[in-house]
Amino acid sequence: MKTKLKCFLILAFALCAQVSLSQDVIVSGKVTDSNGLPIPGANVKVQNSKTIVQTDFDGEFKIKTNVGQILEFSYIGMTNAQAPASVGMSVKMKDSANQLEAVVVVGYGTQVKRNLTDNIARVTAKDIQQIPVANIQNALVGKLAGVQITQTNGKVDGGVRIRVRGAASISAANEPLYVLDGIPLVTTNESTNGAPTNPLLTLSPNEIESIDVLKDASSAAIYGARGANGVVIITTKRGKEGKANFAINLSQGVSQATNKRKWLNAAQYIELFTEASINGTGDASEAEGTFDALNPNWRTNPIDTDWQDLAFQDGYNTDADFSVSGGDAKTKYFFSTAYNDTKGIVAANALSRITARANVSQKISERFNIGMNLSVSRTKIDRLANDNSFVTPLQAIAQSPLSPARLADGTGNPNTLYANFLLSQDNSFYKTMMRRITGKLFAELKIIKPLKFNSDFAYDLLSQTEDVWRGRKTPFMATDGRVFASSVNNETYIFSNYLTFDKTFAEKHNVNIVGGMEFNKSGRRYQSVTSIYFPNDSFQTVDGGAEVSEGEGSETDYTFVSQFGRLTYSYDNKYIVKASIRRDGSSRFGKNERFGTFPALSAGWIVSQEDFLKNNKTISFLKLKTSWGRLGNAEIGNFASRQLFASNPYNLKSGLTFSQAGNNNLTWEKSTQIDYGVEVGFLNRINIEADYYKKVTNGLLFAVPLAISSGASTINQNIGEVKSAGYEFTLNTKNIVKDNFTWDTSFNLTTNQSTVVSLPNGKDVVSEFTINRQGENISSFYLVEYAGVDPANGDALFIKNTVNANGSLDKSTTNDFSQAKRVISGNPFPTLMAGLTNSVSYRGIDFSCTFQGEWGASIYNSGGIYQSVAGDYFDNQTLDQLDRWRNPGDITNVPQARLYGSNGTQASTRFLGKSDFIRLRNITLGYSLRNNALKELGLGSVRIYATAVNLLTCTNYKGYDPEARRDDGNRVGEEFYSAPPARTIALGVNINF
Amino acid sequence: MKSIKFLLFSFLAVFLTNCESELELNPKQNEDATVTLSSAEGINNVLAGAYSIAAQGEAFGGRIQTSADLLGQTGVTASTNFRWRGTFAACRQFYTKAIQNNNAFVEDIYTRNYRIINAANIVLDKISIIQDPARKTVMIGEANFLKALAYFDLVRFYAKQYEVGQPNTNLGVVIRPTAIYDFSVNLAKQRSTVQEVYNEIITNLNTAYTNLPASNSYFADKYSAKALLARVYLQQENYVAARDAAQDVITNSGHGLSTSYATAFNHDIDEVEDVFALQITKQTGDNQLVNLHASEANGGRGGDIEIRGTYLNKFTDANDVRRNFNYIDSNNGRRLTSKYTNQFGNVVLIRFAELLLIRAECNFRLSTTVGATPLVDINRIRTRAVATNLLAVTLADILNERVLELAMEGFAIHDIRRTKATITGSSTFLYNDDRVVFPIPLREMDTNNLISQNPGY
Repeated sequence: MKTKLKCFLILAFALCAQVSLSQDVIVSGKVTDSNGLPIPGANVKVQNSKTIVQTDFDGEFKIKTNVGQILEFSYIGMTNAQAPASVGMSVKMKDSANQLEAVVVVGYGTQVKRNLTDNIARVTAKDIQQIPVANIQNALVGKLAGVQITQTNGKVDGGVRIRVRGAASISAANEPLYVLDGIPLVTTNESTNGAPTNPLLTLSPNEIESIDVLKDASSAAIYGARGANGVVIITTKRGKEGKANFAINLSQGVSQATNKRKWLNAAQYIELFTEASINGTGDASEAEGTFDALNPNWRTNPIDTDWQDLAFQDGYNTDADFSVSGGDAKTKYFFSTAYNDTKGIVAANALSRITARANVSQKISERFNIGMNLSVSRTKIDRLANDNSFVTPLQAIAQSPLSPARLADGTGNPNTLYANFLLSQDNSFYKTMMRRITGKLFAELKIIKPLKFNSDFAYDLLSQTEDVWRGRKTPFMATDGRVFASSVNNETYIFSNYLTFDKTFAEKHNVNIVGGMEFNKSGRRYQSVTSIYFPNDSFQTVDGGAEVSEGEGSETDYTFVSQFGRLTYSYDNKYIVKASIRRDGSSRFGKNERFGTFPALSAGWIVSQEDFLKNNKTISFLKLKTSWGRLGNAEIGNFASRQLFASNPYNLKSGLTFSQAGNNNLTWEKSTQIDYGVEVGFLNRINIEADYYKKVTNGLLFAVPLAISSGASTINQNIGEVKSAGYEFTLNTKNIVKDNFTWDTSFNLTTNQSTVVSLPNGKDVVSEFTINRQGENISSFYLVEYAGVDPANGDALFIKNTVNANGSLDKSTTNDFSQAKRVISGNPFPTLMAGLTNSVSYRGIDFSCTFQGEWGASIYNSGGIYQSVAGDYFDNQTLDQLDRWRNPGDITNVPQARLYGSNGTQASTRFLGKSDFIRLRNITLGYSLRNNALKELGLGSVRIYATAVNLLTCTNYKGYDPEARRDDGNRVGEEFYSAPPARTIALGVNINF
Repeated sequence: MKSIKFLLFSFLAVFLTNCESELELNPKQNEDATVTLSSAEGINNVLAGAYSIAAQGEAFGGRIQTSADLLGQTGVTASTNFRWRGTFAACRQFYTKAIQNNNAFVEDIYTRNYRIINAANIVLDKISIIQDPARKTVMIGEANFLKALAYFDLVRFYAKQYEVGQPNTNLGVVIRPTAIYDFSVNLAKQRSTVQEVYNEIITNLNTAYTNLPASNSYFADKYSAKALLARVYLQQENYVAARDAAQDVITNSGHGLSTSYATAFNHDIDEVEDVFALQITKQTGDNQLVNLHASEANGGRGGDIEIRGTYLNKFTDANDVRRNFNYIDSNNGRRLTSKYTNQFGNVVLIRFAELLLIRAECNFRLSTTVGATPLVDINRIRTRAVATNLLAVTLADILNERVLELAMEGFAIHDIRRTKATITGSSTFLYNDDRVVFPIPLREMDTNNLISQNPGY
């Protein structure tokens, strides 16, 4: 590449010298990408003139200019190029991804990465497209430094947790603010079954141009009271000048669970429980009585049901996307539609989604541009019960292998230890439909040369309906069927107006000022109705029921009124300072604390622009930067400050019950964040970014637990402080840069320690298995320490951990659980995360793979007290329970089997495991057909590819998966019959023409 | 150009001023406490809300009763009256006497009772808002009744048995004498003694009795209070007071036995036998007795609590209706009680039959015949159950009759404790064993730094 450029330059000089007086001629040429594929719609501009044209469908252009005149080539996502005009010239443009010229999206504007004083992580379309996952967040895993992304578990509709630079809060939400094309999205979980749905399922990856995650205070402060958890800015694709470009992507894949666990088979089950019965109750009759109940013929005609096998299924997914984009000097358009059909890996779990988008803009005059983005989507999900429900398939692993799954006639066996999920699967459904319309009308008026005015009106509607039918044969059915139908509309509208002033004075002083206001109102309206007593199972809607037994209806809303401003000043592209401020008022906060102001400051020094480095051959770029700012977290619910009574009727007459302890001083959490960073580039090939960050959140919005004997359980207070700090390191290298062969590597690494600095009155706040204690990690596990088994008698032992007279802990063991004290025993959040992506392109072949790893976290398996307790009750046990203690002297970690004996079944570190893992998150191999042959078929390019997600996982974690967590309730770091994620392998094709 | 800018700025200014008024929003499903507590209607609703808490499944809707019954079982299939077959670990812990301090039912029962107490205290604190003197009196009575109901179950479950003739200075439960509105202050408090809690209960019930009318629809009336008082005195082994309280209800309340044993159960509207019942409808209240006892077809979980032969063998008369008041769940072959088959039926907390049993027992123990002889009272109950009448009764007969009549209605552990019986299971539990007392919930221990835990936890 280098030599080519040199050739160009030499040629250019030669031409300049020879034809310096030549007249205007028509110069033609062709623009291609590094693989030689034509780039339609690239801008070709004669330097220092107004002459501009676009390349056509074949990447070719004609422009009137002097031969030898410098032409400038630009195209979004590509590095700008220059070349002297010559007849029949050909220009290769290079991808600009991760390069300094890339334009990143900041709130209410854009900025070139070179001049950025913020910390913003970015992925673009090509990093996320064609990864066969149903939700956009999953495609980002491992690609963004400082951003942890975890899907709750392997159900297709599962919620996703994103943490930007660790936890900034304990009780309030930790999810970032999502802004799509300037619209803060509705991200309310509207599931009614206790397990969250992911409201961003409605987005299709094919319409997304880029995702920028604003991580530090300097970048996020423009979002004020909602920016403390970071801001995810999603930008959809836009049309570019040039011929219409049609793009089609088709793919199909299959998936399976990443992991299955080993359970006892029938013979092992009988062996263990017979022994447990003898040890626990004196003889085998207790166990045998249960065996008889499960299968009366268990001795003569044994059955060995593999319930785990029934709970999982082979998944299948189809993606079909289509888009067309293009435009001319005045009109630009992008239209797309996408279809996704995913059959999950857990029995009867499926999703299908159709999305469509139109982004159009029209230049009415040189000064006035107006446009609209509009998208609609429809997502249908066949859902399952939450993890803490007998009829969720994964709970079938608790069933005894002695029970037949189905009766002779094929219907589900009703006489199982726990309710048989097959009865539910066969005789009920749970359909969720998410419908979303997101649209924005935007206008831009250039008032005078450096000053423009933007006005946006945006609207987002997430409408979710749930239809639940339970037929006569479903477990726990005593009303001849039951139908539940709910409908909820979440809508938000945003009106924002801002002025931008951008001018360079005396060639060196660049000033950019943004100032404006925003009004945001969101509302939620919910209603549901339940009916019971149906004539038969063919009636599956509310109307079929004889009696409407329940009805609910509710409304709630909140508003934000905000003003914001930002000043960016740079001197000679060397010294950059930036200041921003936002003032937010919200209905969510106590009347004494309704408004807040959120300032941020940052500065950068591009050292490589200084004379002493400017011509340095080794160090091609060097920037030092720092930022400070204050942000808020407003996610505590709409009326958290109020002392409230809620309706609580008695015998169909009205009643009121105290429902919330009030606090007029309640306000947002205040996060102060500092960031020190350095960016350095070597030889234009190696790019390193390193940052230290520290985020201190005080005035935590805390649901402070109250003594329950007071009559209330919690009170919302702004008390306490947490700190989240660590380093981020990103390395991008271009290992091989040749015409037909490129190899890029991107590596990121993040450390994070999220600790509790102070708490209300310094008191510990204890949840069931976790604690927040000053000086310790947020939500540390707090459990009695399991100490294994007494070799003499098979009793489970625990470490006492009582405080000795000298202040040390008594580390002796006891078999009396009540004598042992809880201690801090693990961190539910990783302290080290890393991602590594390699991309290789060789001729028509492209290959990329992403590894992802997390270290330092633990998972508490709250199902362990049923699954792995050597036959304390009749739940099937994990295979490792066969290692139970049997004879004096046995050395093992599994206590003696004692039915009903509670031998080591209490909550302890016995059920806690380290969840460190490395995962081959994504691997893709593609082949692009040579374009000459295609041209005759009228195709621009055709690429076929194979891709896989979660192909390999390396971990010592014994449960289902180090990333799977329970989905019911708001619990931290627990697994509870939680499905592992899917391992998917897909084949696909991209066609452009 | 300037005019455009001016227009824009003035537009923004006007818009922003208008927007700020949008910050004043009010919740639509809840009501600000200041609104609720400033009107007579609000206070009336708070009182109704207190009944509603009581009718929750986690409280008197059923879990309080089943917890007492399971705690009173041996936990061994061969000897238990009622076998726990369900999957709730919390219940299994009661059944096997291996309760842990984070037991969910233990926490729920505690939480709900204190919610009732604070709601009742709020009513009493704000009672001056009520203008109508008659209504005011009734409300004072009902609030006191509800408080006593809550404290009595708290002290029975979370503290050791009241010992007659002893100082009873061992720890009872926390008493909250006044309404709590401000939760930002330190609310930690030590438990009062068992004696103090019983004093509080008796004071509450006497106040209730004084203020309540003889009849008060399905809400607590004078005789609900007196009947509960009889139960309280019996638990204290104060047989004279218990007898006289029972006598008052039997003679003056107008309640009596239902015509048949079956009609005493599973009704949607209170029967003559119901001295006090919690009202359950499809929309309000939650009958957890059905949930835990009934087959799936009858609205339960498939018979979590199974009747064993040990219980049936206590009946001397094979034709005793109560012996056969059960059915076999065809799904799993378990024998389940017919007392709880209507999942939307009322939960009866005090039945008239109990008062006859109290009077009979007290009369027997005191060798008195107030109202009737013990034999007459017992045979009155047996006659209704179509069981052969006894010719003479002993104390054991009377106590056995309680089991035959009142089984699975939440009496098991409390009767064991007051009669100083012993549970012989996989090991032996004396009536005052640490393991038959609930722990103070871990949640309370973690938030109330003045409170003490029960021994053994």
